[in-house]
Amino acid sequence: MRFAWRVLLGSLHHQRLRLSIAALAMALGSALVSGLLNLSGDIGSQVGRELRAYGANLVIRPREQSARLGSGGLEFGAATAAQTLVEADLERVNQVEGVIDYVPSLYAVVQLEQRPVVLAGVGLAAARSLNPWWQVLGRWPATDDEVLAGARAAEALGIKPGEAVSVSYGDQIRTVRMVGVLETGGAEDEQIITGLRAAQTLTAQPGRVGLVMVSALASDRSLEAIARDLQAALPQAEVRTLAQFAQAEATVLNKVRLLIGLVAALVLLAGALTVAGTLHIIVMERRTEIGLMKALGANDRRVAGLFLVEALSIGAAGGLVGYLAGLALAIGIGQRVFQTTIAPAAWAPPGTLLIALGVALLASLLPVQRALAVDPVKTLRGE
Amino acid sequence: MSESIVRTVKLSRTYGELRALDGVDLEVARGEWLSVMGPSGSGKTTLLNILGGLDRPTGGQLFVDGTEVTSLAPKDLARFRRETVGLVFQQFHLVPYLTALENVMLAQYFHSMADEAEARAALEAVGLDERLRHLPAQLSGGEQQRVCIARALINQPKIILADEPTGNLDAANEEIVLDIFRRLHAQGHTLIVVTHDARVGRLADRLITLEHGCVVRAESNGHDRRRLVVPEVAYAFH
Repeated sequence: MRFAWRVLLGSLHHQRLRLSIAALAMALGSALVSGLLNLSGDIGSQVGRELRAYGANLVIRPREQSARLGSGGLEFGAATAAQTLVEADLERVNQVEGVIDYVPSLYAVVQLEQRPVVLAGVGLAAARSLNPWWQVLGRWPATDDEVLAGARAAEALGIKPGEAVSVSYGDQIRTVRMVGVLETGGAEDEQIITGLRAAQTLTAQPGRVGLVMVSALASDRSLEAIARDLQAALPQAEVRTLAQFAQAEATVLNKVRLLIGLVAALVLLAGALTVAGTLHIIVMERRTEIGLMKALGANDRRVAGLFLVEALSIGAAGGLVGYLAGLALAIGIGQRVFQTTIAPAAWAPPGTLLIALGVALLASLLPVQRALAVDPVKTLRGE
Repeated sequence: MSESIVRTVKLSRTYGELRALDGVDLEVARGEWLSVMGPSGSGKTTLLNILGGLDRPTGGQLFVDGTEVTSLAPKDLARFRRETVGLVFQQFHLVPYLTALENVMLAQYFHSMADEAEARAALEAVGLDERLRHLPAQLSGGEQQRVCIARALINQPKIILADEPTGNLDAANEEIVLDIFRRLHAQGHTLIVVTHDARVGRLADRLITLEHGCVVRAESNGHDRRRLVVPEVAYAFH
């Protein structure tokens, strides 16, 4: 076995330039495979998070509800505040795997300067985080007596940032200051937005919420599975998925994966052709050596073994270099595209290496057949 | 007559219309040195290739040490080559990236197991103890041929087949190689040497001449160091 290694190393060294080019071609394909494998673990999460920028994808509401509610351009019904959820129960939402964050809200139809308008009390911090595209002209409310006015509501009511207005609900009357105009492109544009606590106090529903928008990451688990878990955690509520988001997310993810996969397959094919071409040339150049080996009594297994091991060496070298290059590529994409650090996937090194070895092995089949067909009589005669 | 180690019966080899060998009957005794001469295209190398199991006849039979080689399966023919014959080539055919020592060990590796000490001894026996670690490109033609001979001998083959072993050598190296052959013959090795060189041919116990694939002449050189074998050849003239 030791001597076989000496022969192999001698042979590899003898053809190092040609083999290096073949290994480089394999490395290019392997780099894409490695990049794909390293990203595919994180890319689902990354793309999922990017898509999260478009809002929540699950909604939790009381089992029976008649209020017209909405967020992000989606209508969920009509609110009368007759049915609410206990805010403390929502602690369980964060314990469900896949949930990133949630926005609790309480809706009520209030009178603002004697005109009816929907007041939405929301968890402001979570709402800002989950709806980064929300544009606020002015500033976000800092205290319970500050509100945002939706762009259309502000226009209809004729109020401007900095103005104090009176809000009444039943026999409760409060004076609040409008500190900013909110533009979301959705139902919020027609509402008055305040903190959840302020809405609970005004409507005398402390510790109650009417609607919960949940943002969940559906890359590892399906959104339906997360919804089922949420439903189990909150049996008194009704959990629904926002199918539009789920489908868009799945479609984009699948397209990204398909695109990278196709490019990787094409580059690997090019690598395989380079390896096959290189080995074919090597076999042609070494016909005399192969003929000699046969004349010395080498059987087909030994001759095939020599070239297969050389092909595997190309695959191993290309796979190893490709893995490292692919990891660098994945980290670069992570930083530039997703503004995050990609963690190396544990199965990327063996995955890349196995694919590179498999491709190199397949690429060597025809050249090896050509080697086995060498006629020692002809080659030793110099034909 | 001494025991035959090689026997051919009506051995023929055709390439399309060309009859490279045409019904050759030949016996070679154990320990005999047989030279095969003849003009180019007379079938000398074809005969040697068939005797060495590199090529198959299209007709007739070949027996080596009691085994009918012509009926061997490819796998068994490969075993025959590594266990029964030692080949010496005019072009040496050394693997360029292996040292002299490794080239000899290569034959051991295909035979059974590489043994560096044995390979070194084989090279020392042909006077290359100073050139063990040299690559073929660093060796002279004569030295390369001696590596080739050491490689042919390393597995103790029953017959040594040499195709124009001195054809690419200068006079001094030719003499060194022929001296090795003389020693091998004296030690009892069976040698079958194809040559153009009448001087090399005359060193053998027996010389046969091929023309158009037939043995047209067989002559004893009368200086058999061990035994003289009377050839039983079919004379054919075309």
